Amino acid sequence: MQQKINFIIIDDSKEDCYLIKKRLETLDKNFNIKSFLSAQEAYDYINHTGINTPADSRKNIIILDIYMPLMDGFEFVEEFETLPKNVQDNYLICALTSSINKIYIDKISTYNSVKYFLEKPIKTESLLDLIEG
Amino acid sequence: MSKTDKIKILYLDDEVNNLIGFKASFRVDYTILVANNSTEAYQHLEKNPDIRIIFCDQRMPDKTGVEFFEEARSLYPLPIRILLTGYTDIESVIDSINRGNIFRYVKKPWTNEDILSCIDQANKFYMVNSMLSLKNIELQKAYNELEKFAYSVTHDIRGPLLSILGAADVAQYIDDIEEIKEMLRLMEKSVKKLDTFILNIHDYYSLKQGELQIKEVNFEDVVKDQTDNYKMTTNMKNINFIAHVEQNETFRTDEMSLKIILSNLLSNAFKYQKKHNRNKLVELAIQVRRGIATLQIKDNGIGIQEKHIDDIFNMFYRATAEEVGSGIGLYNVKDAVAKIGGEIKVTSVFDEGTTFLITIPTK
Repeated sequence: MQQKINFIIIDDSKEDCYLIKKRLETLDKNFNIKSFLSAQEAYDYINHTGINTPADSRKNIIILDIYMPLMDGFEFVEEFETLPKNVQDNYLICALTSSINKIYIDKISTYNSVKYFLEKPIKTESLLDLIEG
Repeated sequence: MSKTDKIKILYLDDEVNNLIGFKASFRVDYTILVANNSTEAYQHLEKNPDIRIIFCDQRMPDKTGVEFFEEARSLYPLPIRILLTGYTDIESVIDSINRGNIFRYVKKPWTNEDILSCIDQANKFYMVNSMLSLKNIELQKAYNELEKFAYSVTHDIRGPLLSILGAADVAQYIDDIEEIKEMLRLMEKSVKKLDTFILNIHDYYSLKQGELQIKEVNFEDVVKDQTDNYKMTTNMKNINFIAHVEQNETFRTDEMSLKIILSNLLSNAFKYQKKHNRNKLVELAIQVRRGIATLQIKDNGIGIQEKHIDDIFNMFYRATAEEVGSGIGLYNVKDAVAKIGGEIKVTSVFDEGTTFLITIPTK
């Protein structure tokens, strides 16, 4: 029996959001999955609902694309890290990258709140690591 | 040569007679500014950033010419510095030349020929230098674009490829035929995205490298082409597309540039519509009068936020995450407009719509 998990997917590509959702659903139909095409909207959502999420109820995982127009992954993480500590603690950020360029992966890993990495295309095994880790 | 094209020269000397003599000899061919002391010289330099050559006497009461040039070089690096001096000061002159503070020195008493040949050489040196810095700026710009290009290639080419790969993989875990079809549709979308990106890059290079092919343009035909191209889109998205052309005179321009402008602006106007708007509208109005073509493309779509409006023509810039875009379209539009000598203006109200206004002169 899998643990109940909320997922927030942030990716400007509608197709990729859908794909990640589908892949998660192949693992467990009961995941609660929310997708955002814009990092700003995701941030606003977390900012409004984050405080009300009881810390112990469910695991909240944010799957965050790095390269996006307007607010990109880096900016999102910077904004996220200004949120109250108890809100931040409710979430686990997993950076999603299609980049072959190591510089961007190195840069995103300097942020404390980024704990996991996923590379596109996402492999089922790496998702399982994320869920169980 | 008109007066403004004359080479501007500053001459600094404490002896007023020298200044008068110098000015009298060269004022016909050059714009001569004279200064009696270094303070005056700095005032001239401040007011005239286009001074190309500075002549300066070595022996002056407040400071030597060598000292003046050493100082002036860091404040005004562009003008070419030439020292006027007698043999007695040769040691300090050699030292100064070696340290790069002086381009040439002219022996006193000077002859007109000495000065003229010096001016000629100094001017050539100045031109080469300024050409070089201009080329450097261009090179830096090209390099910046290349860097952005390399960054975006990973995203815009590899991105859709990874989506296709991902969809193919997910499909293997699915049994439901409808869901598999959904995956195929997704793959098709990604392939189209990739194709659009490649076509945009093709436009980019045609604009950068292609020669203009000026010929007579009939705007009715151009608009008809575009209307036919977008018939599917307008029908499918239920957009009312109104085109109006008024042309009673011949107009000559490069048709490919014109097509890049129109197709990008129109496809944007169709793309960035408000989904739930019942009266989606795109208007294209073209008017040719007295050798000027005015093109107006107006939509009542999502509009552009004011804070983004100055950046929309930048390469790879995207002002919205809605819809698929590569950030090259408007960059190409701006390039194409510039290439045929036109101007482009944009006005937009967020959530109300956007209007592009382009004026192009006939060739």
